[in-house]
Amino acid sequence: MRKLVALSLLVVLAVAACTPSSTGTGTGSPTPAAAKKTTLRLPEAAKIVNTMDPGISSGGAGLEQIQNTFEGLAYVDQVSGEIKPGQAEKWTISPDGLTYTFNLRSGLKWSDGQALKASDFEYAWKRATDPATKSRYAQTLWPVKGAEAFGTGKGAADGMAVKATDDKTLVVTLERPAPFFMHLAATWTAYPIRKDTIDKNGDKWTLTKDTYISNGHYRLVEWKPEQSMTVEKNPNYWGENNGPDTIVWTLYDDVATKSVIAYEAGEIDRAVLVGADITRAKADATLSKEIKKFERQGSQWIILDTTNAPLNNVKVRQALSMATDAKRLNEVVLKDAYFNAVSIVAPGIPGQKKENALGYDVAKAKQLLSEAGYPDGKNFPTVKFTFASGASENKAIAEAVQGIWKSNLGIDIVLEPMEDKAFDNWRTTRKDQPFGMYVSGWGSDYEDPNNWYNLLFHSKADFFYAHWKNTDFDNLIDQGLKENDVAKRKTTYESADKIINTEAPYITVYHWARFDLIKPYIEGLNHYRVLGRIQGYLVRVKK
Amino acid sequence: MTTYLLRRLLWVLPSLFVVFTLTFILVHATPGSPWDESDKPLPAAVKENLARQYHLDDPLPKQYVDYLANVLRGDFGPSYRSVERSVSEIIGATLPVSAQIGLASMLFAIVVGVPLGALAAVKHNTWIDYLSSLITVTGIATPPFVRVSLLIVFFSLALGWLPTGGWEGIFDSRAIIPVLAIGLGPAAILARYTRSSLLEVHGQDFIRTARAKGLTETAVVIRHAMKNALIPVVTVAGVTLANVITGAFFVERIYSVPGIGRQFVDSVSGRDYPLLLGIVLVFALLISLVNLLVDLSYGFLDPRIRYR
Repeated sequence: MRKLVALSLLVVLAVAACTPSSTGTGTGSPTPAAAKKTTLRLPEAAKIVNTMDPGISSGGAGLEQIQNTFEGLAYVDQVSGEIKPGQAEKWTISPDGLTYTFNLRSGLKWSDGQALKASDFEYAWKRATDPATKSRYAQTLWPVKGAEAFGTGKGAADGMAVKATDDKTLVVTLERPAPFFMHLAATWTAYPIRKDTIDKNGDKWTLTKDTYISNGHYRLVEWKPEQSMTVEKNPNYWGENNGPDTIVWTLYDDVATKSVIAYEAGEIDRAVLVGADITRAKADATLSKEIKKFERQGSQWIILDTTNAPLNNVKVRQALSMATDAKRLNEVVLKDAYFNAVSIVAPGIPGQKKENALGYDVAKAKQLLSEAGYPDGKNFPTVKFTFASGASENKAIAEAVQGIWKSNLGIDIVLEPMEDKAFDNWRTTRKDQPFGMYVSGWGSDYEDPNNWYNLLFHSKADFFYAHWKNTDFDNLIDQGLKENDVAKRKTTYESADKIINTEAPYITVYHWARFDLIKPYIEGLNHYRVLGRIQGYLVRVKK
Repeated sequence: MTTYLLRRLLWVLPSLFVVFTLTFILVHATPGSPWDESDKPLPAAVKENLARQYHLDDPLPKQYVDYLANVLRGDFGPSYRSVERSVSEIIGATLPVSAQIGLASMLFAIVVGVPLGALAAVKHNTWIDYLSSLITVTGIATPPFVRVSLLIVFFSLALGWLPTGGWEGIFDSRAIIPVLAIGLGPAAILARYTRSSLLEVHGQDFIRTARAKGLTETAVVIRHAMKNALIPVVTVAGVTLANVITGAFFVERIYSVPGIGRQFVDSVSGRDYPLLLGIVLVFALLISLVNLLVDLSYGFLDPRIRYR
C-alpha cells in the first residue's frame, strides 16, 4: 500500500512538472529564433501518407509531399494547366508521334548534390513498371512500347522502350501515338529515382532525410509516420523557389474534422472543410472571410446497369436522368458543397459540351417513362440503389434521389447501404454480375479526354461496369485517341460526348469541389482543378 | 508456485493459436480488398498484380500455413497499406506509445479513484459520498471519445492551454489530454469498486477488533480495511489495465496519438490482414500476461490464497 501511495505521488509530480512549462508551444511551430524564416503549416490525411514513393503511389494523400519534393521531365502549370518544361529543357516528338526525345537541363542535381542523369529516369520508369515493385499506378507508363508486356509479366525490362542514350538525353518510344503522353510524362510515376538509395534501403528509402533523395523544390527533413512531415527548400534545385522556407504537414486521421479544430486553435494555416463545417464556417463572422471554394475536375454519378430491365431501356435511363433535379441536390440537399451537375464528363475536358447534356425536364421525363411502358411509374420493377454508407453524404444523396424520383416520376427504388470495404468488393464483382445502380465518381488525373472517355467509358474498359456498349461511341473515341490535330480531336470527342449523354448510362449528381479555410496572411495558395495539390513554391507566407 | 506459473504460461500458447486461427478465418470471410480507396477505384490489372505479389491469390489454406510458419519465425510480414514499414515495425513503434499512455492513465486512475472511493466509503451517506457518486457515475457514463472531445474544446480551444493533438512523449503537455480522457473512466470504476468493497469489509469482525484495540480510524481504514478491500479492485484494475495499454482507438484517433489502438481499427477497416493478425496476437499475449499477473497479485494481498 505504501508503495502504491509513493508511486501515485510520483505520477502527480510528473504530471505537475510537465504542465506549465511546455504549454502554448503549438504543434510543430518554429522556434522564435528562426523568426525570419517562413513556415507553411498544412494538414494532411495520416492514414494514406504511407507511401512517399513516387513509383508506387496511386496519388492519394502523400501526393502533395511527393510533388513538392520531386520534379519530372515536365510539369503541369498549376494556374494555367499548360505543360511546362521541368527537368527536361525541351523535347521533340517524331512526325509519326511515336518517339519522344527529351533533353535534360545542364547541371541538374539531386538534393544530396549528386548529378542527376537521364539514366535515373530510365531506371525509375522501368522500376515503376516492374510488377515486383507493387506500384499502385503502374498503368500510367503502359503506353510506352513494351511496358504493358513487362508490367503484366509477359515481357522483360529490356523490352521497355525507354533509353538514356547519354547523361542528358532520354528517348522514349510509344506503342501507338498518344497525344496525351506529355501529361503522363509529367505524372509522379514518371519522376526520376536514385537507384543507389533503393538498392541500399529497399522500401525504407522514403523514411529518412538521408535516404529520401529527391530533385524538386523541397527536400525531406523529417517524417514521423502518422504524425507530421517536414520539408525544407532544396538548395540543389535548378530553378527559383520563393515559397516558404519550410513546409510542415500535420497528419490527421480525420483531416476534415481535425484540421478545422487545429486551424481555429491557430496551429495550421489551412483547413479542409466538408459537410456541416461549411455551413458553420459560412455563418461565422471570422471564418466566413477565410473560406475559399475551388473547382475540382470530377463528376459524381449514379451509375446504371444498362443490361438489366428496366434500365436496359434507354428511355427509362433518359427519364431518370431528366427527372433528377441536380440543382436541388447540390444547393439544397448538399448545402452547395459542390458544383451543380452539367454533363457526364466534368467541364474543362476537351470534348465535354454542356449542350450535349439531357438537362432537367420533368414533363419530358414523364413522357419518356410512359413511352417505355411505365405511365406514372406504374408497374415499374424494383430497382436497388447501392451506396457505401461510410460517407453520410451518400446516404443524403440516395434518400434525396429516392424522394425526387418518387415525386417526379412516381417510381419507388430500394436503398441498399453497405459498409465501405464491402461496397468496394461488391463494386469489383459487378464486372460480371447484375445490379441496379450505385454511386461513384471520377476525378481527372490529367486534363485529357483519354482520361475519361477511353479509360472509363470505352466498352472494353467499362471501368464502372455500367456494361454500356455503343459501337459508334467506341469508334469515335478510338479515333480521338490517335488524332494529333487538336481541333479535330476535340470535335471527335464532342460527337462521342453527345452519344454518351443521350444514352445516359450515368446520371451526374454533381461536379467535385474543394472547400478550404485559409489564413489571411497566406497568399497564392491555390488548388488547380486537376489533382490540386498545393505547390509550396507558389505560396507566400506574409507573417 | 513455479509449477503453477509454468502451467499458466504454457496455456498461453494454445490460446494464441486459437485466437490466430479464428481471426484468420474471420478476416478472410469479410468482403473487401486492401487496395480500394473510396473516391477512386484502382484499375483491375493493378489490383491483380498486387494480389499476386502479396500472395493473396493463393488458396486460403496455403496462405494460412505460410503465414503461420512466418509468425512462428517471428515475422509478421509486410503491411499491405504501409509500404515502408513491416508489421513488426509498426507494432514496435506504436505499442510503446499506447502502453505509456495506458500506464499513466492507470496510475492516474489509481491515484484519483482509490482515494475517492475510500473517502466516499468512510464518509458514507454524507455529501462527500454523494459528490463522489456524481463524479464517478459521470465518469462511467461518458465514453472516452466524448471526454477527449470535451477536453480539447475546453483546454485547447476555450483556454488555449494545450495543443489540439499530437504526441511528443509522455512528459510533454500533449500527453495530458489523452491520459485524462482515458484515465477518467478507470478512475470512476476503481472508485465505485473501492467504495463498495470497503463498505463490505467495514462491517466485519476484524475491523471491530481493530477499533477495540484503540487504533485510530485512519489506521483502521488503511492498514486493515483497505488491504482486504483491494482484492476485487485489483481484479478490475487488471482487466482495465489490459484494456488501456492496448490503446484507446477513439482517443488516439481524435487526439492524433500514434498508438496501436488506431492501427488496430485502421487495419480492420483497411483490410490490412497481416497488420490485423499481428496486432491481435500481441493483444492476446498481453491480455493473457496481465491476467496472470492479476492472479499472482491475489497471493500478496490475501495470504489464504495458494497457487497449485
